Amino acid sequence: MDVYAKTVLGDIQTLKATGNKMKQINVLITPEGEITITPTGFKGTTCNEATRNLERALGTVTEDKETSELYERQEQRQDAKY
Amino acid sequence: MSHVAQMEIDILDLDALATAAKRLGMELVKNQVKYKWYGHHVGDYPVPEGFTPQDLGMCLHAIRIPGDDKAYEIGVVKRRDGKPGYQLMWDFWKGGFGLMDKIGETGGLLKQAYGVQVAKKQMLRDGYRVTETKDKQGNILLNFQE
Repeated sequence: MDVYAKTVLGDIQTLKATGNKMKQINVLITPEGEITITPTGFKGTTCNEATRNLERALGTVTEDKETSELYERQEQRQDAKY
Repeated sequence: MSHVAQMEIDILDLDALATAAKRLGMELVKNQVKYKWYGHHVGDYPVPEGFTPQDLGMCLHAIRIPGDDKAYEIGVVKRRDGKPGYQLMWDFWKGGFGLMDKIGETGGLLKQAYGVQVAKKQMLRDGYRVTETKDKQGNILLNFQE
């Protein structure tokens, strides 16, 4: 397991253990200069706001995948309206 | 985790590029308008978009290996593909006589060092703390916490 996977796994375990939502942004940069940005612990779309300046400073976003956590939270908000 | 962004680095910050070069044992020399290369284009590879063979060897700034007169150098030029920022130009003939040992086959190590510098600079400005680690594959992980 590489250091990135270990760190993300460690983050998840810490969150489960403490119940806290620790806001973190992981940036992985390969020796080829490719970048992956992974925010954790942000509510809803606030992660986009948190990484906006960073993405602008680094260059061009080539792919941006929303994860299940975001969808789950949006669904919860939808449910709350009814 | 709510989104994962993949990015391509654009060279926008000269100061960060200078720090990145230093990290790799090189130096950015501002206003050096020529960079060392083979000397003429032999036509075996296309020149980058927006450039002509006559443009090769000319630059706004250059990156060199201090004390190494044999190694080729990197030219820092304005991009001509309509995007902002700079393009890095170098001659990879015979590995640039040591240049590519420093920056990697495609210049990736210099881009990596630049990305590290820019990310740290921006996130520290935004109030985050940073931890840097490197794995066996050479990936650098920056962990930022509020």
